[in-house]
Amino acid sequence: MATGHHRVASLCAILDANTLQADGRVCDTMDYAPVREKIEAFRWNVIETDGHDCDFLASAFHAARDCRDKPTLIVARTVKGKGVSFMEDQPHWHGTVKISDSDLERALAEIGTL
Amino acid sequence: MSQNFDFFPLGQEVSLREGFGRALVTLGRMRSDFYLFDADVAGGTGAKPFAGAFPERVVQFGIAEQNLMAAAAGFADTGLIPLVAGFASFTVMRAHEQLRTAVCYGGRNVKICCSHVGLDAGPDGATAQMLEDLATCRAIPGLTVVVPACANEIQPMLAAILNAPGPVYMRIGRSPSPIIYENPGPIRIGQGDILRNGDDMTLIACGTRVAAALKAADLLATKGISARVVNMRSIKPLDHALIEKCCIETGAIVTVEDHSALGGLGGAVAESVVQVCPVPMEIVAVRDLFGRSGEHSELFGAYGIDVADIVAAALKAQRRRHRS
Repeated sequence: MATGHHRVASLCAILDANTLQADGRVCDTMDYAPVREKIEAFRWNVIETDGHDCDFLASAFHAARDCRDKPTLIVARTVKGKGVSFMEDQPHWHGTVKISDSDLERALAEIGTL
Repeated sequence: MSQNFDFFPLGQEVSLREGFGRALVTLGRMRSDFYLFDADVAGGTGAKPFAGAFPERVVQFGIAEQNLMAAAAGFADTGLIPLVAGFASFTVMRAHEQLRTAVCYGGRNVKICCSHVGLDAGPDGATAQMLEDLATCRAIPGLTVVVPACANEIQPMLAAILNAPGPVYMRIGRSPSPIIYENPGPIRIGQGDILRNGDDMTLIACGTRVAAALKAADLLATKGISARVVNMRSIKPLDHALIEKCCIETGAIVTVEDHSALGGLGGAVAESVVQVCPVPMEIVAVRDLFGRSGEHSELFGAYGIDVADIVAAALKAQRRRHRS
């Protein structure tokens, strides 16, 4: 609200829109949609993009920089746990650090660090 | 620096917020590195004269204190000093997590100055009468907590907190209160001030209750009791050396505050007394209650923190002292 009112155009925020929270889906727990209309109502510029695509993200940041009269929110649509097959889009992994040695090895192999 | 201060004359009753407004303008002329962060309450906190004199140094957030506190934390990283002025209930209580995590966890140089503390907030009632701020603020690591006793103390105290590194909370009153110091001289954070000497006990007070403690000491003198009076202007860091000296030299302690009896000045002093030199101690403070709307002078009596209550507590401490 304050940044929209004060036209803080140098501000850029990123929403990691992964749709999950500790207890399950955001839309089942306490849905905040529609995000664009809400944030625009606070006089922000809103850009929605694929949060896993670096080219799309780079364009979004350029557009944010070029917007001279409003702060910008980049809504980055992402999949939590992306790249690890058994973690992708699973609320269980939101807040746990317990993982077996074999699962850890498999996860690291899938994201290419082994 | 103190020769540049403009003090109110002795004998007057001046609200601490009026003293705060004058201090902001005086210090604002001396240094250009602090900015007022306001939540639409400059008229209530006493900050209005500063907003009039330095409109370009006011950042307005409206009634959105959590946002204000978080923004103040970020602003501090520029090297300039955000001075947050608000009502205590809505500033240190509503935005307590931002104060703790965004400001204090990072040790950020934010100064928080709040009016409407204790029953002194008077007709504004329980929602504005912040009776828990000393307890919650002094529990936050790294947050300095200071309480001026009269309007004339605020100019040197504001100078001191602007010079002190890191976050500071200053607790300011709303209602008229007697001028105690003609010129308090430089303020050193962490030190209390002996206003009157005495041998039989020490009344340790803060804020507007210092004036009440002085009146209580006058009444005690007529009963043959010589009460020392200390203005404990620094709640954190607390002046442990002065407390120890008072315990040893006078043998009993009575604390007086316009705050909850849970965790405020009385709690802080008790924590010190039991560790440095246990002596009989009484706590004059608001019991575990919310305030209510009324004239501050009536509320002090109704809630047991007026002059007569201090005298009664002092007499009790005196009896306990002689028993022990």
